[in-house]
Amino acid sequence: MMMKKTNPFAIYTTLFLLAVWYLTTRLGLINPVLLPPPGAVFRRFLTMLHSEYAGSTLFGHIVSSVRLVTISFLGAAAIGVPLGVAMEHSRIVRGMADPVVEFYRPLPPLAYLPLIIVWFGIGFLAKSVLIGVAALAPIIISTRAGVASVPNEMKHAALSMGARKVQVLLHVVLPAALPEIISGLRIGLGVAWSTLVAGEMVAATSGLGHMVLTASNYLETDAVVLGIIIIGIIAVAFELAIRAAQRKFVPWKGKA
Amino acid sequence: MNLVKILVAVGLSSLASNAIAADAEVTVGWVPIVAPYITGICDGSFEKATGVKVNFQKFDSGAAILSALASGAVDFSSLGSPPAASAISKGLDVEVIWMAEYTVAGEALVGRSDRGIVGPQDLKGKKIATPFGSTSHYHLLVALKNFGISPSDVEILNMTPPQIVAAWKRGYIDASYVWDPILTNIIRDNGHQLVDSGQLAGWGEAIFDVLIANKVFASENGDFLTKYLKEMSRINGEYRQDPEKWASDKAHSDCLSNLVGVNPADIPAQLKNYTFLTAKEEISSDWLGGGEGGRVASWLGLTAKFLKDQGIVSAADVDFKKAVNDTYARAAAGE
Repeated sequence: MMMKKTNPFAIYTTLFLLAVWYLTTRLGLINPVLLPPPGAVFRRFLTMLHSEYAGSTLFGHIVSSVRLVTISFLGAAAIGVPLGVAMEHSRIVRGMADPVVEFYRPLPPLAYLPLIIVWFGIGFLAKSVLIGVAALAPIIISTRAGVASVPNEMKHAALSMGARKVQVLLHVVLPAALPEIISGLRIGLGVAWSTLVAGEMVAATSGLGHMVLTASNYLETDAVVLGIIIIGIIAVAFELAIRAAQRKFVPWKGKA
Repeated sequence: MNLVKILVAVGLSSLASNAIAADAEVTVGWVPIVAPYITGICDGSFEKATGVKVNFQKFDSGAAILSALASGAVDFSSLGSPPAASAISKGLDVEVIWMAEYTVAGEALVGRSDRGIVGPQDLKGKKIATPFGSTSHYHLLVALKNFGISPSDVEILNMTPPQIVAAWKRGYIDASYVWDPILTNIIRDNGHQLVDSGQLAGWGEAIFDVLIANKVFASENGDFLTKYLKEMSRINGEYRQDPEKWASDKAHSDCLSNLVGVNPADIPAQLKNYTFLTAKEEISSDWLGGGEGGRVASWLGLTAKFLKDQGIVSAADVDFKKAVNDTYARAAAGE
């Protein structure tokens, strides 16, 4: 899982795809409207650093989307982790939450987007609810799996030495479940990013998803490709941050 | 990187020949609008006239049509003038073969009178919804420019017509630039009309829809297109001869309410929002036949220039006369 050195094949594949992209457009094999050359995408990047497109500069779109995804994700984590723990500890909570989570988990966010608009409006709240709800399910499920995997012997050992239930939860169950919880957060964060475009589909005025959709309305494919690349880069940066947190907080993971 | 693969596949498939084999289908895009030629989809008259199986593909927005045309998934389609202008100026391999309808009314900027929007200046700081990439989006920007309001002084939101009517009812938006039948709907619900597309056309920026075709498809299927346009001209002529009688035909009103979702009682009024032409009129110097002086080419040029000035489309100046091909309309008119 943890790689000290980057896998060389990852670099080869990336370079190969970039070369194919450059060559097919350079040789005129594809109409530049269908696949804009790397140079056109880079020029769009430079222009958008200082001038507005789709209502904002590139920086404005990035800030708007990062803010939306971060807040939605933190909200999902703040609800999902305690709820997942509670579901494993209480038969009543499990009975109430399980059918709901299992029912909506496989639904595509675009399917319940109209309902979210009707209930929460068209502002920031509706967008963050859509993204947060999508990220919530994997967080709950991984938290439950983590809590369930804590051996009873560990809990009993702590209890027999006089630990109270709260102490068992904080000092035994949570640390033992942490690796799975962090895995759930990683998956949830990925889902949050992949729901971004759906969230910015309705009534957005800025954001990377909004920028991509607006550009597609007028076949500005260089801006579409730029938006996709930037969403990808930011999502990878977030992923690396969580992996770093994983190394810091659960250094024992994979070394048991 | 999947995108690259898809684009490569799409690019390669569009290189393949588009000629119709004996039993093959043609894919035609259409947009739900109250227009006589829609009835040709219901009663199969386009297929009868051409002898070819036609797969009619419905689109809600010009953006999706652009992508479908670019990929060759659709052979020809009706399309609003702003996306048509951007497709041509971006060098997509397409040509205009027919002026489908010229909008004289039925698209308008409407504000909520119950929120005190009764004049253009009341729009500042308000939420205005419109479908991005549409004729309405374009005319909203034209209207704001004419009112002396910068687009950054208002909040312009991207919504589809069905979303607009829902957001209007829930009170999420203050104003909207949209077309019928949604337009009539929101005007009845505390809407105050600020300006309509007929007025804006009078100020020099007209909107219309065209039939736009993949050039390779068109050059290999001229006979089919001629028969298709001839049927289009026949339907438009029948409507023009007696609009009231045409609209009262139950088959026609059933078809329009079915496919477009319009209230049958509103059909006669909404048909009057547009001008529909016969082949003879299409090829006159006023329209397709006029070359760069004709309305189609010159209006498309103005639209492209406006979109470029607004920073929405980045493209070189092109000669719109070359993107208008009246060959098939001429043949359909019997010339």
